[in-house]
Amino acid sequence: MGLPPNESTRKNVDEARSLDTGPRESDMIRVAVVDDHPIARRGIEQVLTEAGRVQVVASVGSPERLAEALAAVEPGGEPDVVVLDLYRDAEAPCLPVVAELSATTRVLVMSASGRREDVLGAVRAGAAGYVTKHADPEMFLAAVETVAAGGFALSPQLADILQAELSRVHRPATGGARVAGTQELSVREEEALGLIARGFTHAQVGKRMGVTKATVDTYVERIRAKLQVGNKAELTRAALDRLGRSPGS
Amino acid sequence: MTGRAGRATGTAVTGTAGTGTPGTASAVSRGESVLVYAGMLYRGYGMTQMLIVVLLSGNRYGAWPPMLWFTLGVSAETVAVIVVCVRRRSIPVPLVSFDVVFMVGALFLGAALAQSAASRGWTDYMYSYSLITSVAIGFAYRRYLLVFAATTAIALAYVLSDWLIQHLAVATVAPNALSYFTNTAVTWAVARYLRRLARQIDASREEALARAEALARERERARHARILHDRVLQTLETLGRGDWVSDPEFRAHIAGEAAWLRGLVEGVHAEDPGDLLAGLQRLVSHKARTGLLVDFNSSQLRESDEWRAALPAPRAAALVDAAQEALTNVAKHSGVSSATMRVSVAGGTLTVSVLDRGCGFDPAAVHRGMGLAGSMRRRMVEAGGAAAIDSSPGAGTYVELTVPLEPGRVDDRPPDPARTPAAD
Repeated sequence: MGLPPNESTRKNVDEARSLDTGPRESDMIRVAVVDDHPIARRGIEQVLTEAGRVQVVASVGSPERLAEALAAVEPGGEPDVVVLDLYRDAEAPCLPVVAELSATTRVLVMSASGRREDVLGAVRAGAAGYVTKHADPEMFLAAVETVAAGGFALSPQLADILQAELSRVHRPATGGARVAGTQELSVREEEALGLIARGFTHAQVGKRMGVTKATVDTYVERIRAKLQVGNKAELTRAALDRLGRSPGS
Repeated sequence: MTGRAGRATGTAVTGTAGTGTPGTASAVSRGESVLVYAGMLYRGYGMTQMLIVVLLSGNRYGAWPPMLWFTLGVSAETVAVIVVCVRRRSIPVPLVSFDVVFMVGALFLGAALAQSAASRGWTDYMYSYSLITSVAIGFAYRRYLLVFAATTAIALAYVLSDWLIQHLAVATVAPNALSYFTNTAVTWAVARYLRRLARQIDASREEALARAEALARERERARHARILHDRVLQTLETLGRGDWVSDPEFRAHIAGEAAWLRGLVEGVHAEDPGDLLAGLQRLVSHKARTGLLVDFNSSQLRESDEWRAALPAPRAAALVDAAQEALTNVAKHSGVSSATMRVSVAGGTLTVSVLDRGCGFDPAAVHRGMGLAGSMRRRMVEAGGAAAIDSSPGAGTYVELTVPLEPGRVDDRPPDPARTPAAD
């Protein structure tokens, strides 16, 4: 566990795959899992591998261990997606890690919690998606596939959080600071967001809105762009400040 | 005299303000201490002045025993008053009332003695003494009517004693008597202002303390919630889902406990019977126990409280009942073990939606669709809302429950117990 399969296993897998019509290893999505909670990690691995479309190339307890594991990976074996637990044991979310990893790979943030600021912070730090740990396994898998394909995995939970943020923007009288740099969404984008928060797939959202799934994907990409438009340097500094306040964590 | 008294009052208050004990004592008690010190410094000053006049006047007063004894008697009363006030750190109203009566008597007696002792010189030194000590009247009585009455008693005693005993013209002494009123009015006003200020300081300090405590509690709660989230909850949720626990009943129980814990740490107070979020959260926990995992999205409502006042309890109860029915139908008919429930507010309408990705059904086929739609719709329409069901075979089922919000309305009726969602 935690290391790429050795040569013989790989050959066996290749032979097995070549016999049936299942995806070959090169088609498999390579995923690294970072979570300090062993049971949760096992659960995630199980969900990912069960479907047969995902290969877990590394499963580690910390970003430091991930760096070690990735250094040992052969060229071409780098993960397509890093599934990262946002909180680990620390009080603060590991936003700098999200920013750092997002520079070189795609990060799907996962957390048991859904604090609005932290989730938004993760997305703005470059995360390509956010799923809660109690997400439906199918949804989780779909999120991994979306992120692997370069998309933005907008889970119903994340959409719900984003829309709560947006309704605060629209009703400033309710108090609470709007996240700096967040641009307002168009009516259609917000409509799409609301439907995704209800649990609809992109295709279903498209059908309900009378547009194609591709258009919905575009809305979602625009929502992501508007979220990530903020000053990244500022965000990273804020994240570092937070870490600095609790040294040793 | 008036000018001097007014100036002296100001000096006394500012001069003693710093002597109040700093630290933990309340502003009210510190304010009282300041008043005690100011009043008693005046008294001490008046007594000293009187003693100097009598003792150093040579043969005029000091050599005459009745005058000497009278002066010492008045001084003894003043010392007693000072001791009592300083020890109690306040100026007791009964003591000041007694002092007023004492002063009235002393004015007459002093005038009579001074008249007998000498016909010239500062015959009415008692006036100066009584004027200086009268500041305590303004400090002691809270109501100006009482201050005025006590002041009048002393002023009258002064005027009458000078007029009847010393045979001075009323026109000469009456203007002097006005100084009493100035003195006590100023000290009463200053004391009142000081006390009110002190009360405000105490109140705001208490409020600040309460807020700091609430903040600390909230931080602690958030910290505990985070710990529960990251450690206990994810273990429970993983165990409630995977196959590590082989007994399905026990697994469902774990899932139920996990859902309950999630509601707790997410700040939904599951014990509040009339609350929409609590009611829906209870459904989620209950369904988790029976094997249906419900993702509950409620960020929007959790972050604002405005909707609460605009959602009458019967409507909240109807929403919870109808949502329960929708989830029960997912569990019974959809063939899947998960659903997404979402609650949101937009344009004066509160919406609860329940979506599953199960087998769906044909709404045109009466056998099942209309039955559940009818019951849910009735429940919603009764409460002034609506229910919409959207499904087709193979495409899952979407239920949307809506109620209008009533802006500005505060519903104070207790929730109907019959309509409270069942906890089982």
